[in-house]
Amino acid sequence: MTIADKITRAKADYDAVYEAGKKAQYDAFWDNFQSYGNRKDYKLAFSREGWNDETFKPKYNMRVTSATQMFEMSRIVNLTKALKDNGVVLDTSKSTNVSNMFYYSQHIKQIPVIDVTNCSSNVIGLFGTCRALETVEKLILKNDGSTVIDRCFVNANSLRNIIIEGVIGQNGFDVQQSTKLSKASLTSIINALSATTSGLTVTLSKTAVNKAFETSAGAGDGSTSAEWQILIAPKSNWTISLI
Amino acid sequence: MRTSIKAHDGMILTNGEIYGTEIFLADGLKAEDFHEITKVEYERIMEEQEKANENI
Repeated sequence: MTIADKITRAKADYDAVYEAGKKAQYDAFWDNFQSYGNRKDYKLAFSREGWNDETFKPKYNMRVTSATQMFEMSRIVNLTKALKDNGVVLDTSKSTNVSNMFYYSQHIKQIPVIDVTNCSSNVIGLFGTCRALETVEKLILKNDGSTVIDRCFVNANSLRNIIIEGVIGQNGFDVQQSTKLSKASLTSIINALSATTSGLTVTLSKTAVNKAFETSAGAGDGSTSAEWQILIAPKSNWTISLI
Repeated sequence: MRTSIKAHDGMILTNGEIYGTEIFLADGLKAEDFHEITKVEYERIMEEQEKANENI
């Protein structure tokens, strides 16, 4: 073996030991932090500035029973990608509390499916002041209309894509600050409105509606379009306010 | 076709609970129940409501 070969071999050995050390550290931390996959209560688990796309590398699936403030004030940007890259799932379907789950997480842009069907009725502050938030893959509500989401998206000024499954039937819904909502998102919101409740208001951005349903590019006349009228016709039990 | 009411430029329609520049009225609501306020007044009201919500 030449000296060059020995150096190459030594470096490879060094790298292998280094990587093994990193993995051992990774395992030691995440095995404890996630209780070898048994952790269910993730209240405040990834809150505050230390959590970002570089540090958030969970080892185990997270089937949470408490997601209160779970990502509050974190610096994670793409939660959907981070979960996928680490091969883990975030499942909130058994969670009884998601209050302020992403509150003031001002860097986050992409959030995967969030299921709140097992939560107490009010999911206050869920996406509050997520100013950079563009996409929530899906928000799953209870089918009985009891989930209260009226102020879930306060200050979500960048929101473009949100699909709502389930029924909006309590307190109304206000996303007036989300001026970039897509047609699919607005359609999803209207379709999710309870067909049986009365006295409630959904407040949408007039800019968003006029753009999404405009009759031709740049017309900005969506609120007077036939398509918009057809969409909202079945929900005459709701006041639809554009502002 | 849903009945809608529109505010004049720079104004906001309200009945004291609902606010909007264009409002598609639910069954049972009447246009005459609404009046116009300025945007400044609207923002003042929203600020007060925000403070009240923070104290809950």
